[in-house]
Amino acid sequence: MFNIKKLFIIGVLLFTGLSSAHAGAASENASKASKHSVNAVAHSAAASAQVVASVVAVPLIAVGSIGEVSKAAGNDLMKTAQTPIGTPLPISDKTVTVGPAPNEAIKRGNDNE
Amino acid sequence: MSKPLKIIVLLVVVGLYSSISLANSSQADGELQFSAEKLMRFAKRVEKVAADNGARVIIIPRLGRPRSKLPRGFEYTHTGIGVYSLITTESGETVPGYRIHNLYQSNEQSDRSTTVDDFPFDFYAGVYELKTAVLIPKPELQQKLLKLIQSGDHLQLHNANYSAISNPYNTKYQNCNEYVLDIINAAVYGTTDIAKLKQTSETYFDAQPVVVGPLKMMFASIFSPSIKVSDQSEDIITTSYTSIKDYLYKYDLVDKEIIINAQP
Repeated sequence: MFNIKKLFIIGVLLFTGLSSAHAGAASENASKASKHSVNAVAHSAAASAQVVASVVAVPLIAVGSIGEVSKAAGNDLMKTAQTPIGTPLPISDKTVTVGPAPNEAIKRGNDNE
Repeated sequence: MSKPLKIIVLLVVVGLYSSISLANSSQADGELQFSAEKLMRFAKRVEKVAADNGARVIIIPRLGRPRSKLPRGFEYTHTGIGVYSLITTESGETVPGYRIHNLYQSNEQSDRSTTVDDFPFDFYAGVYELKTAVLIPKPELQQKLLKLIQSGDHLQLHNANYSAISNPYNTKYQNCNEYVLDIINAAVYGTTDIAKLKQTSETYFDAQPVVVGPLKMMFASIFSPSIKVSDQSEDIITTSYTSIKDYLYKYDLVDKEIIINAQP
């Protein structure tokens, strides 16, 4: 005769085990944007001096080939845009991060009014 | 022990084991694993390695969950495409650096995704290991990828229906790695016709098998909205950084791959 009490306990255990599976995935890409984490880092005192927020970014490639470098680019960067692929490129020492979220940006706007 | 009891005990063991190995899927809301300074140094190192090699376009992966949680055969969890860019900052300054093009799972709805452009620091912020690869395509492929991304046509390839294990051979769902694969093939073949691109993938691209027990997969698909199996056949397959890398090497489209490992 099957023991009903054992069955109940096992059923509870099974349910608990299955419910836990909700938190994960077999091959989850863990590909969500880490917005909250990054914001926290960007606001940390140690990091803020070196972190700059981006407003616009365009591929740095020569006019007349496949794109157009912003007029804001200086002469050196214009030369960089015209170098063939494989030529070493300059990189800024500053750490660029995405700009603030709209809810943060709107607060900043109000502060400036 | 009676037969029904044995079956249930077996299910319990499998169910509990599944819950252990399936937990903790996303970096999005978790604590950072490394200090800001370490992350900044690592991200800058990646940029400098790519720039020193004159790469206009790079393909980079990251590990967004503990390695012990990865299914067999997976090295990383996410892949993005970096493009050497002129970046204008909030202060109006212009600086050169890499902008990363991604598909990210929606924070609000886990079975949906959006396209997001970020920067190496953002990209690596939630990693579990300070280890990555900088995959530099052959110059011809870099040119074609630049042309596609510059035009904005790569955005046409985005499918917002997200499955973490999306099958790269059909259009039902898409994950971050499949989005990168679709962009690469669109650049190579000069088309954004997704039906043609899927046909190409099925012919030439060897998908990554997902080696997970059927019960575990069944539980995951029942309890996690971001795990879909309706686009799969008998064997579960998906796209990974490794399978993309192997594909590009197989067809001589890689200049080099540089591993960057800053693990203590």
